[in-house]
Amino acid sequence: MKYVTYLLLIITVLAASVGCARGKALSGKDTQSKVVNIIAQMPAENSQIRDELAAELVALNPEATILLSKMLLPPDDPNDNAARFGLSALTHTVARNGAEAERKVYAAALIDALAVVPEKQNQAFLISQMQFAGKEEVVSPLANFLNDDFLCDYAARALITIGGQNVETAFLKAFDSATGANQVTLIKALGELQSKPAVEKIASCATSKDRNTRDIALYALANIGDPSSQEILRNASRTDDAYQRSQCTALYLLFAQRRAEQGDVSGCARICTELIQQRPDEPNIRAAAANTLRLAINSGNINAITDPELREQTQKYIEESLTAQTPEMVPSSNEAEKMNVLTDQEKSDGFEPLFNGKDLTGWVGDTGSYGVKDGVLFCRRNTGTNIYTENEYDNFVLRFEFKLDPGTNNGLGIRTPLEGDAAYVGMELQILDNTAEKYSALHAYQYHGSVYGVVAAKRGALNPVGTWNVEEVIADGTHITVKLNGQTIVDADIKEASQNGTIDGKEHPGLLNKSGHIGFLGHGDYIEFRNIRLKSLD
Amino acid sequence: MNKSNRRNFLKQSVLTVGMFSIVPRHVLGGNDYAAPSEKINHAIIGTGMMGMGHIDYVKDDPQGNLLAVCDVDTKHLAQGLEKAGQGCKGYHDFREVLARPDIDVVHIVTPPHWHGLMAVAAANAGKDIWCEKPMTRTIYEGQKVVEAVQRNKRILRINTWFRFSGGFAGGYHTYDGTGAEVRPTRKLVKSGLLGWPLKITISETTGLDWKLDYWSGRTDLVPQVVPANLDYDMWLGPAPLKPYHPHRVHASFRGYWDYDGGGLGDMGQHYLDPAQFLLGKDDTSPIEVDVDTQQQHPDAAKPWRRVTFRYADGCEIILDGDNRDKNAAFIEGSSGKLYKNFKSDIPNLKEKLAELPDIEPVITDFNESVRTRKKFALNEENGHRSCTLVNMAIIAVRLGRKLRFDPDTQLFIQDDEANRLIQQPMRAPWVI
Repeated sequence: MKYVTYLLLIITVLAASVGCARGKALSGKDTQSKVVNIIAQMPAENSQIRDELAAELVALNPEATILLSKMLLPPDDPNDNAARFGLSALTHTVARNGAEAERKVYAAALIDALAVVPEKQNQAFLISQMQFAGKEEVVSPLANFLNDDFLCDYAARALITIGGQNVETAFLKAFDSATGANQVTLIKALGELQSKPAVEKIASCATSKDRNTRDIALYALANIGDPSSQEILRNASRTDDAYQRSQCTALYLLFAQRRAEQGDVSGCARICTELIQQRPDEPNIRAAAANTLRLAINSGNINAITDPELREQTQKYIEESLTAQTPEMVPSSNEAEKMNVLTDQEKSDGFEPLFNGKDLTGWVGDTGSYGVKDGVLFCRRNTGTNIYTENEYDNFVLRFEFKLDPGTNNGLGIRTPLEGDAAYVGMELQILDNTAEKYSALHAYQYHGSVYGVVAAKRGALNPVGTWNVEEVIADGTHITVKLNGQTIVDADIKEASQNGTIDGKEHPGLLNKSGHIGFLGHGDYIEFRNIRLKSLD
Repeated sequence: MNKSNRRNFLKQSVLTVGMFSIVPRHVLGGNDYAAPSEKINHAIIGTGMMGMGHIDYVKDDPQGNLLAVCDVDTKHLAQGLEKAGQGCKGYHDFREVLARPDIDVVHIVTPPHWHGLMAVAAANAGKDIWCEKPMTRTIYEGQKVVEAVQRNKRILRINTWFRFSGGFAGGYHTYDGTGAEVRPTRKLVKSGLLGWPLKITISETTGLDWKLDYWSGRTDLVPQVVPANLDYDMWLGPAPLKPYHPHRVHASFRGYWDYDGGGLGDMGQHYLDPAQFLLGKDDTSPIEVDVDTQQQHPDAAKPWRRVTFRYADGCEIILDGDNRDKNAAFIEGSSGKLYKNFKSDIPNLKEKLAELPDIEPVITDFNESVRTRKKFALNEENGHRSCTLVNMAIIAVRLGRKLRFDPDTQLFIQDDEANRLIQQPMRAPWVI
């Protein structure tokens, strides 16, 4: 036995030294001519031949990979296809399962090749091969390209594909010095990897003036699902811009799902139920929120919702998402075309439009604090104050429609001057979501429709928040009538109502004005108006 | 649906559906509101060659209203606007189209590398979707589209129709060869007259041309200057930034893996969707795909010879790219064969079929789906499965090897490289 072992050892040593000698010889012109000869037979007729040729290249690695990479020509010279066939054949051969040792040699060779290939396009080609065949060993070398204007994208896509802790670390490190498009690439990458340590860095980008930066930051924060991002995402989902509103709401729901995945089932339930309740006019949002509840919350984790009311609501919405038909088709645009256009009846009755559906023609005051979109006049969040008709009106029938957001406070000024608090220097008819919790302790004269401080309106006629209300105001001398959604909620004579002092006990010097402007009196809350038209009674 | 029917329908749905219906605005809006329009408002994203066809779809539909067209090539946009006529607005950025509240249906007529991303964005914006084939460029993107469409309760159709109607040159498999629906064939398969499992062959012999040479990419391209009319960066979108050449875009983009998959991209879902339907495989995928192909270029798609799918129950779908099997039956089973134009070795087949009950009806009028909120015959779910056939074939052809697949996890088995092609990261800022 000893003899046999000894013999085997000699053979092994001999074989190894021969191998070394061959290796040395092959690193010269010999290898080059062999590689050239192999790739001259490419593209191979079939996979079997390709695999045989690739096996010959594998045997010549790492030199073969370096040589093939050096054969890549500048982008304006397409005569390097044989080298591309050779490299991709290597990729597909070593990246299949069961060739780990060969793959490692190849990946290391690709890294070395990056240093000897001058053109960015060709470096990108090599990085693309790593996206197929690279693993942990290429992470650190690829990280060096994350600050390269052209190659950052290629390197990032390869690294996302590989994934893992070291990739995350590399992205985080590169982020601190990245700007412009590279920063966007890195935000996206960290978002896709759901990197918690990136949250703070990314949060500051969510309000960027650059659209790409802002949009991708919101995506990343949603996908990571850290609780600190909730306010940012909630606010983004409430924007006025229709595209952003829809996409950011989808992101807010993604965030809700991530919250549930991370154990915060109550947080997920709160977001979804709030959206269902607050966005009844957007059927797909409602459906999406209910479906998100169903996907994220099940019999296994629903009891993690400790608030019994929230748990009950969640259960109800989940059941409805299973049984309810899909939403009816959204009413289409011919209706939009009819918006802000008088009907034949209104024309013959003598109505005139106060809002043209396109801009604020005919309106004065702080017009920049309101906007027009899709035929709708809206008051801007945080900044909306007062706008008034250019003209003055005395006795009239005013019709308009409005849609409230949760908690919206606005007001309809009539017979008011252009300055001062219209509730006192003129008359204000309250516009208010008095169903909001923050308005749970109102005075009777503060509910929607009330002549503010003077006449209390009947309650309960408002349509749900987020749906349209139809209002008609008739101002005929001292007789004021307010009809909301078909119900008369104010029918009073303001002279009689104020002769023994007003119910709020304050002076209303403009209450009995004969004439004045009509205005919308904003308090920085979002509200939409449309179909604003007026008929003079004189 | 006439006006009074539509009103009745809306009323009924309000009564029966409860909180999940949209209450039509005229119900809330008082007496001043007309009923919602009977017309369905469309927008078309992509007004190249196929986009012009989509403009015809809408213009020829008495229920359709074309309000918007969108393209990143000003020449394409101009031709789209000219054809669309009055009342249609032009856009450069699809996001502005999705922002319009009056659009009901969005047609996605871009190259496939945009399909998944736009379909998800459209579903999130509350739009119904009419998407060109192949449905998505990757299997993962298909999963995301299914999720977004279902989460938002939207209606989606793919723009192929052989599973329910004909009219295509050469025809799918019909009694007379003029091109008609495959539903009688599905009836035959279900009857068991052909036996089980079955083998379907898709080739020139069975009446279906793969157009593999036509959709080959070129490998001799010298980069050119991007013409002023094209926003190349937006055309590429989520695809890698590579030097421009006119052959890479517009009518010849299918030849490049970055955007599509050669002849498989063009004809794959047309041919494979009915095959999947015939075999009753709308809710599953094959467990194996094998290929016979020349070595593929890493960037440009080239012709292949054969792709073989195998399902768990032994059913097979053969894509005979070089039409090797000149005697192939379209469907072959242990008890019988069905050839092109409904010829068969089973005697009196037509008579036998006439005695069998017809298969269950499906909705083949997209307007009906949009109005009733019921799934279209070819929808996000079965469309994703048939597009998965296309993408499995593309991956196997690119890698040049047999792959095993798990229909439930929708991942390849023991092949990391193939799985890296299931989900391919997009170029920032795009993400799905």
